[in-house]
Amino acid sequence: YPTVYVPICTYTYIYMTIIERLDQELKLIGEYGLKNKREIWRIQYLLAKIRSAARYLLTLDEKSPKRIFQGEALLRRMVRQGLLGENEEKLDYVLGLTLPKLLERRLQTKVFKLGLAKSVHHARCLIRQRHIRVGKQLVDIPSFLVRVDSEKHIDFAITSPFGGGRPGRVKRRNLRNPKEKKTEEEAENNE
Amino acid sequence: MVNGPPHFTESTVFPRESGKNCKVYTFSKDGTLFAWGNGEKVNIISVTNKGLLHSFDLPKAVCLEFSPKNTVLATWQPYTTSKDGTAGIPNLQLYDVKTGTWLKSFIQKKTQNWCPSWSEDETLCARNVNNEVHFFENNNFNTIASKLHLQKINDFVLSPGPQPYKVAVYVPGSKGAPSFVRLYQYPNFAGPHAALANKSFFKADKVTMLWNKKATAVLVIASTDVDKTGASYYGEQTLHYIATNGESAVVQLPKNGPIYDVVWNSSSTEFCAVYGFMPAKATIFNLKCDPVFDFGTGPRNAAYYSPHGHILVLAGFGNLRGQMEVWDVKNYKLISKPVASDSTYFAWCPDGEHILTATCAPRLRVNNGYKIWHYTGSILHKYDVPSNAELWQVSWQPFLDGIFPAKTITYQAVPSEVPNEEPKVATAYRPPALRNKPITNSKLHEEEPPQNMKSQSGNDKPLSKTALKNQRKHEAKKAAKQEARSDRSPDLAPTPAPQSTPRSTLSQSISGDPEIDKKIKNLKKKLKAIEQLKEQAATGKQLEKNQLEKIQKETALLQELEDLELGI
Repeated sequence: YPTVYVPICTYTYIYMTIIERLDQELKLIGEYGLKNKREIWRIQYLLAKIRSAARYLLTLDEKSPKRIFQGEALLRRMVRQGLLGENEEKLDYVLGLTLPKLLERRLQTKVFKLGLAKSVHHARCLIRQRHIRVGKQLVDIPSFLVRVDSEKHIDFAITSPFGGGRPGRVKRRNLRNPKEKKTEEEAENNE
Repeated sequence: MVNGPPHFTESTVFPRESGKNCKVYTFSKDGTLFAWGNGEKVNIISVTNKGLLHSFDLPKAVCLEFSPKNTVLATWQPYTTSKDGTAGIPNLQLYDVKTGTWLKSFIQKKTQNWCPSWSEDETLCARNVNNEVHFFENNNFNTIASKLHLQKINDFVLSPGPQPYKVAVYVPGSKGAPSFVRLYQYPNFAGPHAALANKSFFKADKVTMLWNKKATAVLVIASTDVDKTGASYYGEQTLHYIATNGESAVVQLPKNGPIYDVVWNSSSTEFCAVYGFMPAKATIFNLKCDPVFDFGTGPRNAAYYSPHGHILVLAGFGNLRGQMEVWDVKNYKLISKPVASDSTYFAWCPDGEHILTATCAPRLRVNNGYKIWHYTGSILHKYDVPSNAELWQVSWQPFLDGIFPAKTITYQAVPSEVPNEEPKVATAYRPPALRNKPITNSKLHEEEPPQNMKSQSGNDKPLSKTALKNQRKHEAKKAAKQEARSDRSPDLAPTPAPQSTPRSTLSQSISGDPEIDKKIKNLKKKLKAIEQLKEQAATGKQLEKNQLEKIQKETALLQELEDLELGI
């Protein structure tokens, strides 16, 4: 992709060549609640590595041991990550993988899709604020790529107030200094 | 009252009572008592000795419910306040059935969840009041045995089955806090670790909780009123699984879309879910929420297990045409596909063989009536209400589990006198420009066949050399056998005597049941092998021990073969 180091008068023309890519990237950021373009480019790089591996293997002879061994390994990894379905275990399907498919596997989107959060942005907050666990392990990385067998075990953490732990700092403070403070504040506000 | 199968005559014992206000009735759980309200009184009669037991003066009773052991009858009438603004009379009344006395009355303003829930042996009865659930023990409604206090508790379900009892409670979430479902064991409600299991989720406005029969797990269908992604007008549903040992999981459904129906099977080991945008998918999951069997896609939105749990009916009622699929769940085989058009109500007969489908008002006001089917797809009895009358409610008399034994499943259609009316085949509309032209096959939806009918993936792979060789060998053998058989049939003389009996039964016995055909084939194969061994023994060859045992089994096999063929 071209980088834009040109004198000012030609900016608009360069912009016309990259406007489509910018639109697509912005859509992905909005849909998956990403922080910046770097998060997209990171996944793009990962996808590019996978695709080039599949491309190389497809050029090899069908029966060559290298193709069989590495092909099977690649397909197994893809199925385990949830990118390929059970009946799609062929190298050609690997070439058909797209960015949205990879972005769907992030913990942030999974938390939203499973109903544990109200929106993708809420999901990112919950993850970062240590409310979500995968299995028994607390995960606070929104870009954690969830495996297929871990998908079922995404739940609120045991220590989180949403998952049965003790209430959070603010609630505890309010319970400790209850209505007296509140009425004082109201009196102040009224004055 | 109508007698059930096989007679279908109107019961002469219970006279028909006609009245315009007869709006509600109920059977007791074991079918021995029957109560109905006719707009003036609520009457209870005993079905076995046909006597009127009690009569209560409740003109406005709208709902009736018996307790599981028939000790208490609960009635509800709409809550009204008197004209001067003071609180109205308590409208939920409880009566003792044996003595006919009034037990207790409560004020219950909402119709939803009006009836107090009883445990199966009636030691516990629970009611949701404001922010608490009140528990009464042993039908003593004057003292509250214990309370469960949870701020804003909305719904609760008592577990079925024996003690210890568990309660599943649902609290909707406020802003920022998620809604959750918690399981408690009675009577441990206090303390931070009292809950057996807890599941929180955000996307829920309303929740349906389904206990399984053994009370080990709850399935929670959480539904929102509004779907934020705009995919469905009816909101979004998610399915959660919570077990009493603390495990909880979200059930991953392969297809997107609403969840129409979820049912536990009677042994509490599996549950069936019907989900996805039409044509909906139906899948059976095990207790780990892994799919066990997939029924493919089809026009369906409801699932019903038979009372014994070995037959599953997938049906499409409501806005669908009424296509039903009857499946044998042990072997995952399709039994029949009847169509019950315009049905609004479906119920299995307690004997596990007959099905009742009915078209009732006020959902549908035309063509009211009911049909009784056998599960193999034949209509056994039909009753249509005359055209200006309406049918409000139809139900079977319930019986306790275990009274009807579970029978083996037949696949052949039971003969019936009522002709099965063929529903009109709807032809697709073709605009004038495209009529009378060759039909191009374009489908609206991708239809997915059930798991065991999917074509093997090896079909498109070219057969390897050895596989091709084997196939050719097999075909050559078959051709040779055909020739030998046609040669042998004219000269039956050389066949020795003991071979004649199995040979005479070689004629293809065409029974409609593929299972019995298979068994007959297997038996014949075994008998042939025994004949060969006998020939070898006759020529003097030394037989092995297992070969001798096989010969000894011949008489038993012959007997079995005869039984099967007679049974056809």
